[in-house]
Amino acid sequence: MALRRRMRDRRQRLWLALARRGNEDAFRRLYRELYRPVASYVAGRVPVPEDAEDVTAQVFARFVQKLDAFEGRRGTVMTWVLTMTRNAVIDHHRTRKPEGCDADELAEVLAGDRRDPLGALVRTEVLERIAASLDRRPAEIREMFSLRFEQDLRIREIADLIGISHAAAKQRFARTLREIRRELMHEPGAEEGGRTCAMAD
Amino acid sequence: MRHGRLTHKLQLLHAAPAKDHERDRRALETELVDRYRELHPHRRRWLNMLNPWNSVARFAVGGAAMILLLVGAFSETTTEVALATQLQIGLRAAGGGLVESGDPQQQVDAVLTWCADQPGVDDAHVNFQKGEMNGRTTASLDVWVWGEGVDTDQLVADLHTRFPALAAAEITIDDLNAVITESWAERLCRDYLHIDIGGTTDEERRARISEQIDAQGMTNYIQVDKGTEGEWTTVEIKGD
Repeated sequence: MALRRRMRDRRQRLWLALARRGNEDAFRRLYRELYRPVASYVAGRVPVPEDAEDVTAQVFARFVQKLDAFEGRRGTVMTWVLTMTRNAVIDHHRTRKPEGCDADELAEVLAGDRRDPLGALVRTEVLERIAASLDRRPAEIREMFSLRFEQDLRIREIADLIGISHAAAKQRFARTLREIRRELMHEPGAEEGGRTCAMAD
Repeated sequence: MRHGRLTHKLQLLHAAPAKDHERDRRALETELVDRYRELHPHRRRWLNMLNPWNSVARFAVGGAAMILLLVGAFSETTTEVALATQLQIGLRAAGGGLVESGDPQQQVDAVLTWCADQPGVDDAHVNFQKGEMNGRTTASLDVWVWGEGVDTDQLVADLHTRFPALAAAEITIDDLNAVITESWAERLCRDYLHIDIGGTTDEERRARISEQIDAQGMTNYIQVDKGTEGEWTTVEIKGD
C-alpha cells in the first residue's frame, strides 16, 4: 500500500514537472488521474450534482492557473490538489449562505457524506455498527477518516490538508480506531480476538 | 476485530458510489486543455516527445537511437595513436666501444635484452649498422621500444650509465605514431571500454603494429634479417 502511494506521488510529480514545461500529454494524464479523487471528494460534500460539477471545474481551472505554484517540498501533488478542492468546497458553502456559515456547520460539510458503500449488497450489521460509531465522532475525525479511506491519503497528507501536526493526526486515528474496536467488542454480537493497533502511515 | 479487517470495513464504508465520471471528465478535459494551451503555448509539441509515457515518442526516440547506432557502427574514423618510441643512438666512428670491440653483436644483444626488461616495455628491437664511408668507419644503433608509458628519459640515462660503450653516444628520441582506421563503435570500445582492438595476444598486437608501421612506409626499419648490403653490414635483431 505504501509502495503504491509512493509510486503514485512520483508519477504525479513527474507529470506535473513535464506539464509545467509545456508537455500537453503529461498534463492530460495528470488531469485524468486527479479527476476521480477530486470529483468524488466534491460529490460527497456538495449535494447538488450541478453544483458539484461547477466546483470540480473551478478546482481544475485553478489547478491549470497555478500549475507553476506547486512546491514539491511542501507535500504531494494529491495533497496540493485536494487542498484546493477543500478550499473550493468551503468557498462554495460560504457563498451559498450570505449570512455566513458557522464553523460547526462547515466542519459537518467537510466531514463528508458517507454514501451508500457498494450498495446495500455488502451492508452488514458490523458495517452498520461501525458507521454508527463513526457518526458519534466529531466532524473533524470523520473528515480525517473520509480522507484516509475514501481518498486513500497518508496520515501525514491528511495532517497537512486539515492543518494539524502529523503526531496529532496519528494519535487521533489510533485513539478512534481503538474506541471503535472496543465498542464493537462490547456490543451484542461482538467479534472476539481484537488487538491494539497503531495506524501505519 | 483485527486491524486489517477493521480497515477493510472502513474502506467499504467510505467507498464512493460507482458513478460514471467519464462523460463529465471528458467534457471538462477539452475546456481545460484549451486553457492549458493558452497558458503554456511554448515548447509544447516538441517537449511532448520527452514524455516517457508517450508511445509515439518512445518509438521515435528508440528508432532514432537504433539508426544512430547502426550508422556509427559502420562509419569509419581515423585516429592517430602512439605506438612506440625510437631511440636513435649516434656513435662516433672512432671512439665508440661497440665499433672497436671484436663482437658487436654480443653487446647489441645485451642492449636489447636490457631494453626489453624495462618497465612499460612490451617489446624491443635493436638495429646496429656499421660501415665504411670515405675511408672512415661509421656506426649507428637504433633502438625501438614498444609499449605505453615508457619513461624514455630514464631509459636514455640508464643506457648511458649501464653501457660504457654508449656513455658518449648522442641519443635522440622520436615518437612513432600510426594512423588507425576503425569504426566509431570500435573507437568507443577502445576509448571507453579499453578494449584492445589490435588483438588479445602479444603476437596479434605485434602483427597489428607491424601493419601500421608498414602503412607509414617504415618497413625497412623492422625487417628482421642479418647480412651485408652494399658497403653496409646490417644486423637487425628482433627481441623476444
